[in-house]
Amino acid sequence: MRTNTYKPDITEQLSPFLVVFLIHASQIGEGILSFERFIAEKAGHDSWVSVLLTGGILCLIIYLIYKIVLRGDGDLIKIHQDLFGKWIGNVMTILVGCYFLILSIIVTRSYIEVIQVWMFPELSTFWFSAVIAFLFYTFIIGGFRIVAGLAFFSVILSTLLASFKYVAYTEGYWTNLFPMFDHSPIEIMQAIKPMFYSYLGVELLLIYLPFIKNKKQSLKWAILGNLWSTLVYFVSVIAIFLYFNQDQLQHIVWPTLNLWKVINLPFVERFEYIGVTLHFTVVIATICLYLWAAAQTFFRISNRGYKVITIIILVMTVVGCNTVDNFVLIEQYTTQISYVGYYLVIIYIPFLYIYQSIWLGVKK
Amino acid sequence: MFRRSRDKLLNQSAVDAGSSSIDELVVVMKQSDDFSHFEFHQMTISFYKTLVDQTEVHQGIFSYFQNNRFDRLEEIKQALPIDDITLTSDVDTVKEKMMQGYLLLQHATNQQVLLIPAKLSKARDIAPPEIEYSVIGPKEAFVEDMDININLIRKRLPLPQLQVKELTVGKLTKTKVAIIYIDGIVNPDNVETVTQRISDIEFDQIIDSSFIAQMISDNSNSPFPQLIDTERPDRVASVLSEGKVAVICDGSPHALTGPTTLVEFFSAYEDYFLPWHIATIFRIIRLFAILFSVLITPLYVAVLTYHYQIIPMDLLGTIISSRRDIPFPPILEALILELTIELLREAGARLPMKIGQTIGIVGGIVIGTAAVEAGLTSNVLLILVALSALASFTTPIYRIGNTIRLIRFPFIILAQLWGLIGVLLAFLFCLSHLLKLTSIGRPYTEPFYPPRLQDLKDSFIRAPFSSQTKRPILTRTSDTNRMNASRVKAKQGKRK
Repeated sequence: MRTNTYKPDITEQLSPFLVVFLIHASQIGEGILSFERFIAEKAGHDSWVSVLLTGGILCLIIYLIYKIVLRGDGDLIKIHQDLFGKWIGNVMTILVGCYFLILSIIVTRSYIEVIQVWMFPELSTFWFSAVIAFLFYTFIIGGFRIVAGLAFFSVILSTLLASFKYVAYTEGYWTNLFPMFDHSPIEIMQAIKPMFYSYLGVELLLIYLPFIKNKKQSLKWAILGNLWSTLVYFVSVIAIFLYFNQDQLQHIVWPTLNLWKVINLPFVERFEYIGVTLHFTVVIATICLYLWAAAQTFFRISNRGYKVITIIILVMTVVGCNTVDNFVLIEQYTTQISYVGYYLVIIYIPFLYIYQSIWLGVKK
Repeated sequence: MFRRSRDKLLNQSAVDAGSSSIDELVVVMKQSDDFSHFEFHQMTISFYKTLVDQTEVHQGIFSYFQNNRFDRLEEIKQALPIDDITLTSDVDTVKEKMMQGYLLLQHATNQQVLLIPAKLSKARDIAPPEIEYSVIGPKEAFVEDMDININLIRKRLPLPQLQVKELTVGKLTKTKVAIIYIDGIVNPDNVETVTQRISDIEFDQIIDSSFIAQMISDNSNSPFPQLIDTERPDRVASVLSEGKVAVICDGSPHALTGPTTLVEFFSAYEDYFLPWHIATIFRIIRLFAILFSVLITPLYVAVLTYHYQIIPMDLLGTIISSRRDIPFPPILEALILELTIELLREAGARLPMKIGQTIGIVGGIVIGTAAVEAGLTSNVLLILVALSALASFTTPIYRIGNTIRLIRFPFIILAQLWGLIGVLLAFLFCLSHLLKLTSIGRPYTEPFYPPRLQDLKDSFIRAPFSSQTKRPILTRTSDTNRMNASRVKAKQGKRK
């Protein structure tokens, strides 16, 4: 059914404009619940500038990724093999695949933590992770088209949830944002690094771009998806800064969830229960995209079947979720993997681009 | 070895054993008491009394023999004013034709035999549709006879391009199946797929089109039907002109049409007879009814078991006072009520119509009220369950209603396990299944995913006919334009 090539069958390919949803869904995930705390630590109430700056940088990165993939005519695995030879190339690919896998394990675990803190203090991590691993399995085994379908539906939900930030605009304090530009440019730059965790997801383009029908045309959609995420993050960060003051913010783990507590609908008293539930779809979509990318990476470089690899990856996810059992550790791992992602996106991808340019020049 | 012996058994089965000569065949057939066999001058005539139209045999054929004398079968063939008379010596043809109501004519001097058609065709009168009833619009429904059904479709689409492909399936029933499509509009791939799948059917009996539907579905383990079965000729004519394929099975008053999508199951054909905005609102109401029907009991279980904090203060009072004396947890309460409703529905469906109504009244009113008064269930839940049962009956296609009622139970169980998160997980499992589902190779969740704006015009909304200038992308038709769009615009201008 699935063949081990970088050129997928036409039935598995998607329309270019779906890239908007793929980019948006892979970026918006667990990070949106808490990113404000991390960036406010560095640049205070001016860190919304960093949100916009990071969005801008990511647009450039997306352009670079498109260049790499279009010039290399294949996914990351083929490009690695072309550029570095079979052995070193495969090692690099495995490293990237491990990054995808670890990131998805950490995101899964940290969202289970959210559920445990906000909804079910006695939720069994093992059984719950096993059941959601089965859910991931049903999506991933369907191939990229199905994973992208989930991403598509999750975007509708994440946009809906983002619109619930409106309470902060009606009940917040605009004075919280002033005096504007109180922080030095260096501080604002420093906030880019923690912000990156929420923007991660564009690197998946390296794996799934061959699954898009009209690659060149989809660049503008990818940029649009990224701008959409930037808008959502911007609305979100302003909302949180309006509602909480900076000192308060440092003591709140998930500011968005605290904000949802304020929402009062005629038929719903505590909106955060519904919010946490619906946001889970968004997180699952992100995790599925990452897990699919991991499965695809390992599938491409090994001779095993796609099913076997997916099962192995999911067993590792369940085991990984159960070994980390401490909130502080989860936070620590999240920060570390976000740094890995940061360096991957901001250093490795430009490096790959330059190296590929040189390699192509030499080849000519 | 095992397989070979089984194959041998199959080959030796009594039904398959062919007779080596026509005389032998007649001997076998004579064993049945409804078989007539008599000699007449130099000829032997044999037929099944129960299969032929006896008036026609006596008046049209026998009277001919009495008035004229024939020495050769060829003469008869030319003289009789009946077409489709065959002259053959092939045993299998003779057997097949005789089972369809042909007369067998043997002549002492001739090796060959003559087969004269005198088929008795008795069919029910065309009646108004019962399952897909509509207040407005045509009121004819398919009957069990295939020729009448095809005639009903042909009358609505008087085109030479409307083509019918006949196949015979079922080892014992030898059911005739017709694949109908409009050449030039339909995508040949779809016809090819359907033809291939139907001719691949290996089963001894095909009684109804639903047998075929189950066997040719893309995923026969799915609770979701992947082909629409309809009893309305107008609906079939309409989907044929959208480039879909219809399958009609002899002996079944339901046609199958495909490829189809999930939303098509929620569109009543009456929607097309109403103004577009009214139809759209009805469709949206139906869609909400389905969501309500699936989700409301699980949500009740989830919220009352784990998250009663969600309920606003005023509403909480009402719910608590109705649940105060209930000895069961919400999950048991919900399961008991849901199963009661299913029981009532099943009893109502199995009984004759008049008793069925009584059961409905006894069950709905007496048991419901008594259960609440006895303190076994809360009246809030009773209202919700009754409403969700009602909502599940809004589905225009009967089959999907069954699915809706079935998939509610996994939702309830997951709701008990993990509250709202459980409901969400059940929903996502459902979504992953739906995303993977295809109908004759076309995506089932279209036009939502893959998102296709053009097909959205006739999904949960029904845009005015003037804006539906193209045929659905789903079917990948050879001819995509429904009409000349530029002329439509000109006309609109004139009306102003």
